[in-house]
Amino acid sequence: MGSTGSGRFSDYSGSGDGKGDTGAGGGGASGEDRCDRAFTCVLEEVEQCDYFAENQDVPPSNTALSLELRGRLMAVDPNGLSVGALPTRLNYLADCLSAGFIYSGRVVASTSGTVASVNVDFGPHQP
Amino acid sequence: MSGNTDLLLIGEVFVDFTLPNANAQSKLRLGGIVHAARGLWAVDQSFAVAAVCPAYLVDNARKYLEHLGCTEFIWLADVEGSPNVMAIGDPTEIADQGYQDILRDEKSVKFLENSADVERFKRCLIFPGKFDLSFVANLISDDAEISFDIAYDLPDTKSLAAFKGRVLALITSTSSDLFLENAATDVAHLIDDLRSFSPKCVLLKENRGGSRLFDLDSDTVDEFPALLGETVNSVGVGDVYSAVFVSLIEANMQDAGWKAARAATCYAQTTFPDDFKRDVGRSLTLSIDQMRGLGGTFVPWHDRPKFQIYFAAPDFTYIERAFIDQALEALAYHNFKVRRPVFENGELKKGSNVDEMHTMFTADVSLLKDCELVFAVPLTRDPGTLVEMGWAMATDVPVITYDPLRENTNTMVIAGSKAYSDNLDTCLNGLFDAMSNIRASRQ
Repeated sequence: MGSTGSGRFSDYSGSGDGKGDTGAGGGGASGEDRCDRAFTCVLEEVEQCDYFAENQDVPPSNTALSLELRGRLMAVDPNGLSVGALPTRLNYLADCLSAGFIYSGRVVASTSGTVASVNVDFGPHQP
Repeated sequence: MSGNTDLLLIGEVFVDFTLPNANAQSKLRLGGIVHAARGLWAVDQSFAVAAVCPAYLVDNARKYLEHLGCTEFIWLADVEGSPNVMAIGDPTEIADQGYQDILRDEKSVKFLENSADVERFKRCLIFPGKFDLSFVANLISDDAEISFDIAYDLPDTKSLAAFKGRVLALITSTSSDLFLENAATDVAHLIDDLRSFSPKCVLLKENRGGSRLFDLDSDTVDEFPALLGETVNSVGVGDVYSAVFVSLIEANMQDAGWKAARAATCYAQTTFPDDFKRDVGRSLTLSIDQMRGLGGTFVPWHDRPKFQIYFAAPDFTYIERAFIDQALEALAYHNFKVRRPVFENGELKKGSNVDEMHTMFTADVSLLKDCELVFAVPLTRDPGTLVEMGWAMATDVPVITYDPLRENTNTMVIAGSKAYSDNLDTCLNGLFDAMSNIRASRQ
């Protein structure tokens, strides 16, 4: 019975993208960048944000959005009104913004029933 | 300060072998203080290494560390009787990671002649291992600043006495035996004990709940939130935290904590060194004020039992319990206070009459009302569990749903849950996050 993988240390910086014959999960880089990923989420603190305060309502579906760092990461409408905060699990996107990535998105669904709720999709642009 | 001011990492070098599982292939890499070295490389801090390892590992370790920019490699001590191979079962620390230091009881350590080279270094970070700390104390210069990560291999603090007056930072974690035995219910006793060695600070790493920095000069406590994302491999994350913290402490202790926490987060989310360095580089371009503003998850170990968690599940003796026991083990590991209705109120026998059922229903609902969160494992589409979840959702009690077999992929279940997943790691993050929000809303 032969052995596969695990034959040597292969996670050297600069040693490739981890997709070739680099041992067990080795290689210096994955070849992927989390900043390049599109994402979807439900916004938080919608009722405390500018848009709701001004309109007593949530933005309709297909409203264009951008992503800005305003203390927390905020989804912002074309008039500069904050619509809601991104969940903190997406805080790494602040690092991506500082690296020059830009994200644009839109409201996928929204409701201002008992609790205001806004679902959004975002995608990146290359820096 | 004359002498070499590169940060000298002192400790054992291991081969870390993470066993493959259904979701990930195996991972082979150098571990022990090499994790700390990767952290220093990522933040461009100059470092050297004094390694305790078997002879067969020396060339590999030296070559790898020099590739990371290690300015000097000192083979401090030889290890005999053990290969220094760490087999790792759970790389995500859902519960105890189950490290297996193979042949550890057969291990012996012999210091080598070139150990005297350690004396030239003025800044040291020691990761205790199966080697004699009092011997190391005599090797290090009297005017050196010495920090310790005492999360592992330090059964008691007596062995730190030889370093008194030279200690800069003491770092431990809520996973350590030292913490669990001395500070699991109250951290003050441990802090007072450590204060006797005159450190400037004590850093307590609290896993997914963030970390606390005790500044012993000013008697203040700083809190650093955790940034919870997908954990790829948590092995060595604490070592990166410690190394980056100590390397940056001179400029500003609090800032060092914020930056080190971010570097550690990046290390948990990839095992590819170039990805790690890129992500850390981006992360540290944020100002400390920006890091503060972003927030995160902060639930100190000692606060967790204040928030009672209702365990909604078919927690019965007669069913296949593997997933339920896995969840309970993980919740206990993270010091959550779990209320188990079946365990506390009893298990009805089959064929019980309506009066007996009513008594049980009333008791379970009363318990549910006492709790602030629900952790649900609705195996087999258990109707009792689903009713409890619905009750909680209707009363705005956050529900975290762990559905390992994906038997409940239903709109009401998924959308009504604060977190829903077949992945326990994701559910734990959701629980920490929900508890953090409740805690923050009260302050």
